[in-house]
Amino acid sequence: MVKADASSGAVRLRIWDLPTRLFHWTLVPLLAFAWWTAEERMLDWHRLAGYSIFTLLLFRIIWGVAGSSTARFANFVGGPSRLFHYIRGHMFNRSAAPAPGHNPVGGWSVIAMIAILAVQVGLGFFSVDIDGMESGPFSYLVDFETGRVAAEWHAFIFNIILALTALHVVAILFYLLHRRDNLVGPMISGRRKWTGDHPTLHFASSWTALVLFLLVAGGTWWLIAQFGRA
Amino acid sequence: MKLPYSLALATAGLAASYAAYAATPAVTNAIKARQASYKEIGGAFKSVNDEIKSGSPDMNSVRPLARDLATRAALLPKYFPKGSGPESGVKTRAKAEIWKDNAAFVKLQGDMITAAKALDAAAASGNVAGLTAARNSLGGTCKSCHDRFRAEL
Repeated sequence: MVKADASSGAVRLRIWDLPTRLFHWTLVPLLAFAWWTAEERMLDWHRLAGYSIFTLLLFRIIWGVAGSSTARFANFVGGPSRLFHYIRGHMFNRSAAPAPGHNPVGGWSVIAMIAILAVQVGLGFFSVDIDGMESGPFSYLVDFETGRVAAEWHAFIFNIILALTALHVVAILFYLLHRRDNLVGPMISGRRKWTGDHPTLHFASSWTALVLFLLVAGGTWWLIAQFGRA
Repeated sequence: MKLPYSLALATAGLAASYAAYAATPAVTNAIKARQASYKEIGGAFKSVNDEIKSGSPDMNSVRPLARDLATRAALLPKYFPKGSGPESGVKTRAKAEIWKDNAAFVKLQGDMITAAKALDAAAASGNVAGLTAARNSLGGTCKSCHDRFRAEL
């Protein structure tokens, strides 16, 4: 998918499509909102936050197969050799060429983040509050003790999410300070500065993304409305 | 010369602290019994809630659960003997405040017993709106007591 063509000179190369950027920047406030509504025991809103995050994750997983080049898992998830090659040869080397999209380490952090959030949402679905009043939409399928275990794991895993988020921010600061490479700008504008041969990236249509998103959102709503009890 | 002395002192200290933490069997039994009872209460209340959340509660399922809740709630006061808090050394979320501010705790416990009786009565009457209201007030008593007297680990 990633091929070099002959053109050179500094350009603003488009790397992130709009759906991927929207996914990223909606997830950030939603995570904060989910945390805050849990702290304030606003469980109606907390469940809504959870359903929204669930929808986003489903969309991102589909987009990771059907989306643009830089959004596809197959293009950024590599084996250990690719990972170690990048860490040893590129990561700390200021003059190394930047990655057109997720680098091999960042790719795995995307996978870790999606996986832990999926586990978190899944646990929330079955969680039961200690007061027995509030619960996830599918907790009626499990007994009280199982629901409590799910809720305790749900509380614990939030710490892992915080740790991964902190690591994410530290990595961005590392790239900014050590590599002099600003990764936040491209996640906003979609474009990054690029010198020399640039890769040919394929971009999927944002309309396709919208249709997929609406299908996923509708499916989530149907699942909760039809089978959930909250 | 000094080593055996300090070793003896450490051993004595360890034994003393162990003795301080070793709860009497009566206290340990009370903690175990109350934890088992709270699990049953949580389970029964969750089942009542699952019925209510289904939109059309099956009163035949709810009635024995509500009866069980009322019975178990009435028994709770005897599961909190002095010494069955964190100082027992047994793993418990019961805060020391239960005994420091015992009047407030007993009051909340009384509220729960009353609310559980009301749930039982509402289930017996078979009225869904009444059952829902009784569920809400019972759930409220869980929360008000947990917020104050149950430790978050």
